Amino acid sequence: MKALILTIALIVYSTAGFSQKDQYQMTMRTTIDKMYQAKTVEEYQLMANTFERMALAEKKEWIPSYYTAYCYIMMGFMAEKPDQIDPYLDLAQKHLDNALAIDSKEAELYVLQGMLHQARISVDFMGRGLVYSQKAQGALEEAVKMDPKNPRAYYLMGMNVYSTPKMYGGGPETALPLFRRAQENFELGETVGNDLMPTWGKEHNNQMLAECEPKN
Amino acid sequence: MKTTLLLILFAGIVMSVSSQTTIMGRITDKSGETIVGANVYLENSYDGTSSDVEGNFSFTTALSGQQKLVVSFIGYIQLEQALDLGGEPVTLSIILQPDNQELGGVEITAGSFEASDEKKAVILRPLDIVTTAGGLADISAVMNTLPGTQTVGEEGKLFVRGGDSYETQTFIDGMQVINPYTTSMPDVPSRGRFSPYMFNGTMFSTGGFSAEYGQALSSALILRSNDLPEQTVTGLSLMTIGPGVEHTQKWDHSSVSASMEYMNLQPYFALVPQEFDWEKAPEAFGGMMTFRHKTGPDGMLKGFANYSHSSSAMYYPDMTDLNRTMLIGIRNDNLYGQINYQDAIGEQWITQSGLSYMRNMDDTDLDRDNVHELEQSWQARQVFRFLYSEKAVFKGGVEWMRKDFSQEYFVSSEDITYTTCFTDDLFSGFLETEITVSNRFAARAGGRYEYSALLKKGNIVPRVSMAYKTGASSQVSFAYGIFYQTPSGDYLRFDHDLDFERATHYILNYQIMKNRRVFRVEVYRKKYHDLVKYITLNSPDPNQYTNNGKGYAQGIDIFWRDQRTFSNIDYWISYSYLDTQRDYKDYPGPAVPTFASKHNASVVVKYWVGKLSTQFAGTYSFASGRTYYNPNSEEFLKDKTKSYHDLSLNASYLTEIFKKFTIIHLSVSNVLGFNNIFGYHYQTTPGTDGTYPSFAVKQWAKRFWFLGVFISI
Repeated sequence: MKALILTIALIVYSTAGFSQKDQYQMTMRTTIDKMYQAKTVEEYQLMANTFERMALAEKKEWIPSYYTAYCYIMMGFMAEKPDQIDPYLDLAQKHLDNALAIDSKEAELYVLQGMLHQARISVDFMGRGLVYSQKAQGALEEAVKMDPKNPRAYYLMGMNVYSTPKMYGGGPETALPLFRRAQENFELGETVGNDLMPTWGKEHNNQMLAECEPKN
Repeated sequence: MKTTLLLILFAGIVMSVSSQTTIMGRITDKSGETIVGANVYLENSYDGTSSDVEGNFSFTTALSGQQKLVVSFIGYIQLEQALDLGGEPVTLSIILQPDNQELGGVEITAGSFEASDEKKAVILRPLDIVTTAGGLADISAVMNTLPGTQTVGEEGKLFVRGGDSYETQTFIDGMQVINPYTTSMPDVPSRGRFSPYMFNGTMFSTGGFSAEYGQALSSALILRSNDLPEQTVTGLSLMTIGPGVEHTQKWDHSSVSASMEYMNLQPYFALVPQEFDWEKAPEAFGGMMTFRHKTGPDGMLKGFANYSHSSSAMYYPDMTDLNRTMLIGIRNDNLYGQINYQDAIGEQWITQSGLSYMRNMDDTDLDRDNVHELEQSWQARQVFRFLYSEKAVFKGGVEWMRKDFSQEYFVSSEDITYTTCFTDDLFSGFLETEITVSNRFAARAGGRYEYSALLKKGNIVPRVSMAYKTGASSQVSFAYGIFYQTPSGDYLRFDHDLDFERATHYILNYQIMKNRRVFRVEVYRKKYHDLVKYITLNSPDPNQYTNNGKGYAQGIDIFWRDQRTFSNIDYWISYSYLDTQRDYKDYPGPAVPTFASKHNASVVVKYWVGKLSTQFAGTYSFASGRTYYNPNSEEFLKDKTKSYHDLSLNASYLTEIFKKFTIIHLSVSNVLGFNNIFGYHYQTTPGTDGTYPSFAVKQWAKRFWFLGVFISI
């Protein structure tokens, strides 16, 4: 009988009294996994909604806002009409600012800021290319300063250089060392201790490396 | 005991099950279209979901009692609804209202063209200013491709909607800049003193502007200087007109930059024949220092100082006998500096302070006579903005500006120096509110007060503007205002008893902006009162000057820009129709002033060729004939020049030299070689046959070539 009571007590405790922290970890983990599978604007929207709800409930965590912003940036990249891009990116910036207000010393947030600036370029390459690739570079350099081991910062720097025309200091050859550095950092292993930290970029970085490697 | 414990435990489980509430419903917009992917949740909880492809949603919650349901989706106003949860399923039908704010918002556009990187709904980008053909990176020359301006080729300044050039004022971070143009020879166009690269925002208002700006009868060119630069960089420019060097050093929260440039047109004039007879080709050197310091999350301290010295000399027809020439030599010395500080005070207040100083010296030799002019200005400005809510902003400020002018005119034949001078202290204050009444309707209303210590007169004026969104991307705006300006120093140095000149503006604007296309049309009417009149120019007799002048200007401005239809091609077309007459200066009655042309049009095209890493650009400008004063003619200002045409082309090639990012820029004005005539100058006395001989005011050369290499190190 005593054992039964204990068992019931445990069950009750573990379902009803699941600590909020555990619930946060679990919901985030599953949503992050789902997000990496997302392929359409609609799918990203669902993930963004979930992350935003998490962010609103967990006001001291920057990670949910980070992923909300990430989703909106991806939607910005995927948007079909040029007029849709900026509204998505404005939302992304709002959530990113929210995350930065919680933790202004997190390198990943500067990486994401760099990506957000890069996404702005697609609206108007001629008008924005120079200004926003500089802004992106500035944010990524900031990220590297905070965490030299961050792979995504180098990966995006590589992307910045890669998409800059060869005629003025861009192109695959110049981008290659950056993609290599990113790969080294990816190999170092992903952030220990917090499995909610971002992991994206490795696959595409490998693709870019393959593309930039000199072919004999 | 054990049973009791068990019971309590079970009761707990049962209770938590029974308090589960299901919330479901459907989300649509006001026309009944389903909204897919809207976020639906209870505030401060994990409980929520997204609407599915049919707009339906359903979720359960363990929360009970008073809760707040939030529904949000991009492009719509967030909806919040109070719910009382008690286990009974809740079914809702939710209609979201479109948020026009997110689609560019309702913005007051009457009378203004804005170039900005930060705002979304703007017509121009700062880069447009440096890439427009025929502009040669001169802000006013590029603004001249927008509707509402009149081409006045021999001046190079901004003439807006039938207004004289002095009616347009330049403001940098709120500070009024006296002498924004370089000093130049008669009939030689001047340029703006400030490089477009200094600014990340340019607002060109052709009328109806905010109460924050005064002392301009017609137009305001409002420039916002750059914030902290992105990185440390050194720039080198090698141009056919001379070299320049610039260095910017950036730290975490501060930056300092310094630049120097030297210009000499002598080598160029040796290669390309000139219409004018230069004794000394224009030569100039100058330097600029800039600093930025971020004092906190919202605090920014900015400052810059700009110095330049220029000189030139040429033989110009002697107006008393056109068969002879006289030597005119000009030396100009200009120093301008300002400091601005902006910060937030608490959550709702923003303070903006500014100080500026300007010193301009023109030393002109006219044959054996000499004119020495010294003008100085000091300005202090304090503005507060109060952000009452997201929808209501109040601003108010005070300004003081001292202007000090003196002229020494040495007449060699009399061996006498005539001195004239004046000092004016202008005190101004303004209050204004900007209210977004609904997401369709915004209004701005304010007033401005000015008092001139020299004139011993004050004025108080209203400024009102409003905008109404007629669709997702279209809107109508209206602006009304009264504008005062202290009379020019040319008159104040003789007569201190004048009154302010005054203009009243009415502007109606329609604009549609969608998918990188903009169309706008604006009609306006401007009435002038109290313009200065005199009997003879430069008369020292104060009784000759009155405020009896008046006039009007009305017209239609049309603008179309399209960055979408043709890939890699961006073009805009401007057209302005102007009907104006005024009676001012020494006019015998109302007449069309010499700077006004009835029709003005520009076509600006920019074409980016990725394969060549080159941007090609062309600008065609047209202006119908302008009036000129012909003393042989019976009627005053009835003669007109032929119309003006110009086709300018440029190409910017992006490349690398020694692994450094380099832009090579080539431009040429008036490619087709139109022989443009801006007017005629007549001899002051008739010749032996009783008629007045004249000469035509032409371009200083048929074409102007420019080649520059700009390297970033």
